[in-house]
Amino acid sequence: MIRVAAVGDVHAGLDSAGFLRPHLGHLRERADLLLLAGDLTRHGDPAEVAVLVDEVADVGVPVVAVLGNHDHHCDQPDGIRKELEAGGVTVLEGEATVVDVDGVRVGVAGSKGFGGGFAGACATDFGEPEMKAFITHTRCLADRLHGALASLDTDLRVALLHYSPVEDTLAGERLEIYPFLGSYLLAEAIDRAGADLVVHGHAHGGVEKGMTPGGIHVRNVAQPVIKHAYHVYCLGGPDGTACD
Amino acid sequence: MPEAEPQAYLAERIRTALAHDDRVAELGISVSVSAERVFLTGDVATPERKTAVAEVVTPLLEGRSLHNAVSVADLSEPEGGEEIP
Repeated sequence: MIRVAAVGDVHAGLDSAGFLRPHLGHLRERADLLLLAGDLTRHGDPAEVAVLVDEVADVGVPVVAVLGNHDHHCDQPDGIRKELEAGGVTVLEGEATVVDVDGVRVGVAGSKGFGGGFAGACATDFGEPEMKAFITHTRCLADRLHGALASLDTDLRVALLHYSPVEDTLAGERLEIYPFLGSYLLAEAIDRAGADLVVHGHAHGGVEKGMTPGGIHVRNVAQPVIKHAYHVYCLGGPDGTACD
Repeated sequence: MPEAEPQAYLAERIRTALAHDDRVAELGISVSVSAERVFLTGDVATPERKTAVAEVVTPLLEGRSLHNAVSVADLSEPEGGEEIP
């Protein structure tokens, strides 16, 4: 059994040094890897990344992240990524990484994702250039996520996103903002490639549990939703390892 | 004599201020405006950010009272894990 810890939307800032680390003390005993589902920083200042890196340094398990919309606000996503990678965090955008857990190979494919809405009530790449650019961005990221997932020849596969691929986990958010919270194109890409679990953040007012139309479990790990430092999801079936 | 500004515009001005002020930078705070008060709900990561929310909104109240019911993140360790079938 592989234990995946995940949290999103921790929004580290210069005012939050020491906010997370005390709650990660038992992570090594409870999980095999830690996924960070975007919005790692308050507003995308690379200086804020140093705070987060200090929080997750030496937690004893591999840390894999995607960026979120907040991490783009200062228009320095490359700087954010560089700081994270220098701190030992693997950052994915249309890419995949493999973690070996005692011989079990766990593949993680990640993307920020983007918005557009959900089948039956979504934006279309039609009309003004701005509208085409909006949906083209989502479609491009979804295509790259599909490629990253499909490239994984591993025992288990996890898709890591910031934006939501499904409506299920948005329940509680206002319907009017669904197109800014996610896109069905992400779910379509994941269902075509296959995965064992999808985690995302971004929807602070949503709920934790959902499923893609193809039947893959989706978990919204936005910190205001899970209301803990992280949640743990166990994959691969029972083998005597406790999922606690 | 000009009519008073619709409350919806003030609510959005407050939401925009909370998004753009670097001390807060939060999009998820719900703002409800009435003739007497401004009521805020949502989540922020730190106690300092909850204080900053009040500092950002106070100059925009136009005589209303502020009810800052924003919550600070609970980062306790989880009780247990979930087995994904």
